[in-house]
Amino acid sequence: MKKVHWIILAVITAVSLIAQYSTGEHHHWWDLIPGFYAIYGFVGCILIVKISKWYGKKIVFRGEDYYDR
Amino acid sequence: MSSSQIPVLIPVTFLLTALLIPLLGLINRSLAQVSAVIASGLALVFSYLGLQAVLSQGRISYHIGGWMPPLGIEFILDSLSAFLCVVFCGITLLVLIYGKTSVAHETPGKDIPFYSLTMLLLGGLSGMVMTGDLFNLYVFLEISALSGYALLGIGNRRASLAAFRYLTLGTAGASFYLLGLAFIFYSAGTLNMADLTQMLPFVQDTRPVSIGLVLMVLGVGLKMALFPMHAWLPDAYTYASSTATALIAPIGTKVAAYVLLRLMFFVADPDYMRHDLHLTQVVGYLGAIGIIWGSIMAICQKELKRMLAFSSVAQVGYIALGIGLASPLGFIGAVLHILNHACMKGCLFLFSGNLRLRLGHSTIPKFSDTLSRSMPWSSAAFALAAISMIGLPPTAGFFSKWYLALGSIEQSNWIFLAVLLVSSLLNAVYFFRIMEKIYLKPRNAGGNDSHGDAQQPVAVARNEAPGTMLVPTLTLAVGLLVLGIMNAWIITHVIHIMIPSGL
Amino acid sequence: MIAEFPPVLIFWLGALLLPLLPKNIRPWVFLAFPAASLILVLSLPVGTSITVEFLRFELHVCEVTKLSRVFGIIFSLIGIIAGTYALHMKEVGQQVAALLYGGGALCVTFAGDYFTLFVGWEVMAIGSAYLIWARRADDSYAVGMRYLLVHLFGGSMLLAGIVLQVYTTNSLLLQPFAYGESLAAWMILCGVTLNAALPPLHAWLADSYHRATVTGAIFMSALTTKSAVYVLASLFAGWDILMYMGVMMALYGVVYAVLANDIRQLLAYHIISQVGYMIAGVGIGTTLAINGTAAHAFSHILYKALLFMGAGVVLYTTGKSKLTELGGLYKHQRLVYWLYMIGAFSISGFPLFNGFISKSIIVASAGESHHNIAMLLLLLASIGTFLHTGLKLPYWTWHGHDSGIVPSKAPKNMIVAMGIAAFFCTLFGVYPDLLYRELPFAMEYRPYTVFHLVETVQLLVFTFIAFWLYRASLAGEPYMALDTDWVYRAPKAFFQAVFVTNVNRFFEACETIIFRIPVYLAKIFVHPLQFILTLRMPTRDFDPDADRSPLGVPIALTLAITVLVAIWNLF
Repeated sequence: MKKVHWIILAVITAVSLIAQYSTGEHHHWWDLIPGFYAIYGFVGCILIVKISKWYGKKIVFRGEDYYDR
Repeated sequence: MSSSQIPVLIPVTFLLTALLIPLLGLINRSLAQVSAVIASGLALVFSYLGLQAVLSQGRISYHIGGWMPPLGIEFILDSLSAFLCVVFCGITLLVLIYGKTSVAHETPGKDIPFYSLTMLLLGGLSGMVMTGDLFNLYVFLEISALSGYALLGIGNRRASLAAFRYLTLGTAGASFYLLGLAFIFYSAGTLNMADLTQMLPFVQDTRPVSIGLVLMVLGVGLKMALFPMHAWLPDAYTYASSTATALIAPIGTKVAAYVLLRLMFFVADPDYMRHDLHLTQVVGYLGAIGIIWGSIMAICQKELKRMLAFSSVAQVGYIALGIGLASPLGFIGAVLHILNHACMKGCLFLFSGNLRLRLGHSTIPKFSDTLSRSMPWSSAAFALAAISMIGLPPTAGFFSKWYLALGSIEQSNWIFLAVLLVSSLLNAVYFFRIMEKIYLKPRNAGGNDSHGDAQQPVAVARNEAPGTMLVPTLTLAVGLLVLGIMNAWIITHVIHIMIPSGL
Repeated sequence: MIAEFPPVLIFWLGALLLPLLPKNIRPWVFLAFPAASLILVLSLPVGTSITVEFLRFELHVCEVTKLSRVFGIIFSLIGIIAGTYALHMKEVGQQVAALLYGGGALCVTFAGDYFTLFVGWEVMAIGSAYLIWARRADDSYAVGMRYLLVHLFGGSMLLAGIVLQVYTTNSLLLQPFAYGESLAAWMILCGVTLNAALPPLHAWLADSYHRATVTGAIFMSALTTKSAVYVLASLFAGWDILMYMGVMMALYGVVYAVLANDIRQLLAYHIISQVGYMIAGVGIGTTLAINGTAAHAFSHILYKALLFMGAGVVLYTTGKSKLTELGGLYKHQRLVYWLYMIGAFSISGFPLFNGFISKSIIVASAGESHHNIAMLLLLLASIGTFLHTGLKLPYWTWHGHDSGIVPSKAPKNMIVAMGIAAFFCTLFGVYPDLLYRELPFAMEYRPYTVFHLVETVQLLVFTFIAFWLYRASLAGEPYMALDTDWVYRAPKAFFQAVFVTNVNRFFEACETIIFRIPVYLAKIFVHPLQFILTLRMPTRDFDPDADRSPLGVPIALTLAITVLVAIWNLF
């Protein structure tokens, strides 16, 4: 990930924040929170990674030859 | 020759040919097989004409020697016996054509006794189907049984052992039948089936009659290989020669099933059988156990013929289950299954004969995918018959199971329904196991491929069975499809007429 | 209109004809059949109904509705694409199996009565099982047998439901069910949801899809589950329980995909996740939701095929499919990578690709029906989807640490097939009305709104950022994740675990009875007689000579039964 890629992402995010504010279109109460989906994406992703890893390590991971023993 | 003589013409054709063959054989060896084929062809023509006559006119009756029943012996052709006769003669014709190469290969030098015994066997079996007198049935039963034992014994030493076991158990069964018949004769005073139907209601609550019926049913059950009286069947089918097995397996037990149908639904009153004697339920549940037992034992077999033998025990169980339901749907299912199983098992045993000819064995662990490439048509026939045995539409096997299932639901008999469904799964296990081997298993086992696609197959020479053996196999296989598609026609035009009143 | 007959016949005719043709033209002729089927489906007008007399029933072998038509179109189209992908494969068995399988799917889709449906259902099971066996690896026999038995079991449940339905209503026709209408409806639901891979009946998919052949997996990813979704949409629309199960299923698939190490198994779990969306849509039941289900199924088949094709190329050219063994392939496989990424973008819902215009319909319908939690959870599942299919898989396969593998050259037809799929993904993304025209109900939904773009962009960008921070922990791990098929694969472990309370106790209790028995019985079946006599596990195989019962036994048994029955009847 070169620096220029990060800059492009930052620009896109800024544009989306502006667009979200200016359009005023919303279907649910949470749409009005600025950057809601950005936060949801970020937090949600981390949540999924953490929970899946926990589920794997604590509950379901086994050796690959588990059923052949 | 009028149509009224057909009932007796069919057994007589076979019996006469049985006598002729040793004489003709003295002139020219190969005449033996040819005469057998001609005789079965004639019998097929007669049966077909008989069926047409029955469907248009109704019951045909022939009195032997002009003596009137109930003193004289009567031969009857009604829709049930005419239909079964056509089926059996058709299969016989195909198997005897098949026998030309197979008998010469497996039991060289013995074709004269072989074909002669075959004609005797079929004479006995067709006599059992045609006759309208219970003692006469016993006579023909013994004729078919004795020639059957001898036919099975033609082969190696093990065949003799199998024939001896069959003889012992078969005689026990026939004796039960005779004893039961004696009790009934003593109480009712007549041996003619139609007469007995009238007389039995008056005497049926007496002890001799009840015991007599029990003995007769169980004696016939032994001949039919109803569980647990099936112990003679695996050895008999395995060690006999391929043609002999292909004759006895589809026809022998089915004729006994036919006799059971006659006894329980036509001669005796079905209601009496069911509510007072409980025999219908006994037969039904023994059939259900036999289905499961036969399927389980088939799974652990390593030899194809023995596996098919245990499978036959299971299939006879289906017929018994249909009888056990004692309803029109059950009756249709049972009769349809007699037809379907005769064709399916015939085709499968012919396939095993093809294997024995080309490979020299029919041991399952030794099958590999060279088989599907060297014998593609036989393998295709096997695949079709296997699909029919498992019961997948539109093959014939599905429809008989469908009717049995409908009959079970109608009577709220969930045990039977469960048995039907479970047995299809079990059938799938032992048939797909073989199909996987002959279509997919590479000859050098255990090719661990890492590229996710099979390597190009090595070219294998075509080594298909000869025409006289291949054509009957394929005819029966294709017949299964045709029977499946036409089963509606068969049921409405032929089977519906036969449903006995009282069901 | 060219002619009027059920499209399934074209495929099955092909299955009959193909083995008779010379080896070298077969793969090309193969393409003719799905192509002809596509033309036929496009030409049959909505409302066509073909019936056939059979027994006492009138079979409706072909009913064209808007819903069945759109599924028919995509099934035929994917046949062409997958056939192109398989042009290099010469094995006739797989070709015939694929045609039988595709025909079965069309048979199910256009069926108007239960009998036709069931015939197609069973043919699909057999055709797809062959595609697993055809891999011919060491464990292929066992995997394929498990697959087949599970599907025959599902087929039995379906059949039992059908028989019950016919018996109670005396009609074979397919009619939508009201919620919880009858025992027959529930049994049919069980049989259908097994094919749709609804947990806990889903383990067969994760067990078998990554063990199918490279070319066979494309067919399998498209046909079995989506034809089941079609049946659900036409018979069980509006069943609330399906919405809850669908959302659960979407998240379940996400979790297991994050854990998966084999790339094709990851994609298999992803199928479970996406079909969860479709089932949720069926459960919501509004016209928008059903439109969404159909649109999503259509798009999903395209991009899932593209993803499987990409993973298949990796497997074919390197011989490996585990993330722990792959990495650094980008420099050798640029074109494949970017074609895969088109599929990844599609599934993640990037604007200009077909996921954007289809998946969001279901999410929007959840919102519209005020199922807010469901909507948020489905969005969460989208985040997970982008994470494992659009980020984890491509990153650790083509970038990540360099494994040093040099892949062989991929056959051109595979790339072309991927190109065709990518083309369609983009076409519908850019011009959504092409798809919307075919949907069952009129569409007022507009995907390209500022709001939708904003939502998507923010979600995707920040999921990417979170992934980038955690990418190291998402590398493949050399473990296998246990799933519900454990209950029929590990009876030894069962005895140990029986005293340990599990989270899914309820599901296991039901399946233990049903699924444990076959494995246990298989051991007994090696020698059933010995088991019955000694009640211990058999020590040796059945030997006809050693185990022949002496003659006295059957005679004694016969006598015993005769005597018992006689006594019973006398008293």
